[in-house]
Amino acid sequence: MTASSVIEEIKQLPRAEQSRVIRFAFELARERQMSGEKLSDLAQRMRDSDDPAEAQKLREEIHRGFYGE
Amino acid sequence: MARIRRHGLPPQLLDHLLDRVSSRQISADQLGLLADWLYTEPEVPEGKWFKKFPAMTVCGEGEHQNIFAAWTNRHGRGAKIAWNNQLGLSWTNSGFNLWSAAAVTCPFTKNSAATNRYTNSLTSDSLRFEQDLCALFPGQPPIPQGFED
Repeated sequence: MTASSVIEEIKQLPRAEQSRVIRFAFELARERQMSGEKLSDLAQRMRDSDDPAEAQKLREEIHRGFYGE
Repeated sequence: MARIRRHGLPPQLLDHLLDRVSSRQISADQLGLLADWLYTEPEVPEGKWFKKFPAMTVCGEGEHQNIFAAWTNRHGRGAKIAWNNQLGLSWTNSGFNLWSAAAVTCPFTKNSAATNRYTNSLTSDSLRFEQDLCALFPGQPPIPQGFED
């Protein structure tokens, strides 16, 4: 099973069933979001880093954690 | 009432906040406070709203992606950033910068030719927003002391 095949199946669902999928996706993303404390910690490490590459990696991690990606 | 979520915060604004953290204009914990607040998916008015944090204020309009950030600088002297889909303004007691962009999806660039808020045609929206900020922060005049229009 791939994401593409799941998405194709979702497209075939009735609207009400699609709404359940949408709610589930939002909930799933929310569960994957980092806490504010963790994000603050990462932001602090990003600010304190002297290594631009590490700072960039931390910035990307903050983005993923903020949005739950 | 509308409900806002973390996904309602434009990635460009998150980047902008991280830039400000990197340059030590705001502390890292402000980002955490904002994230925790958005995690609760708070209800906001349909019109303009604002949420004060200890060293930063976030302003927005309804649930749309018109979210702005403003904050006081580390010396507490009223440096602020306003942000919308078209441009942002920053000013301090010692200087004033105008930043503009065609849309929120574009990187913001400094408009070095604009020396005050009335010299750029893009400023009408920001001027209205400044007036809104005046209403939101009556004790903090948005125009720096000594700034000549």
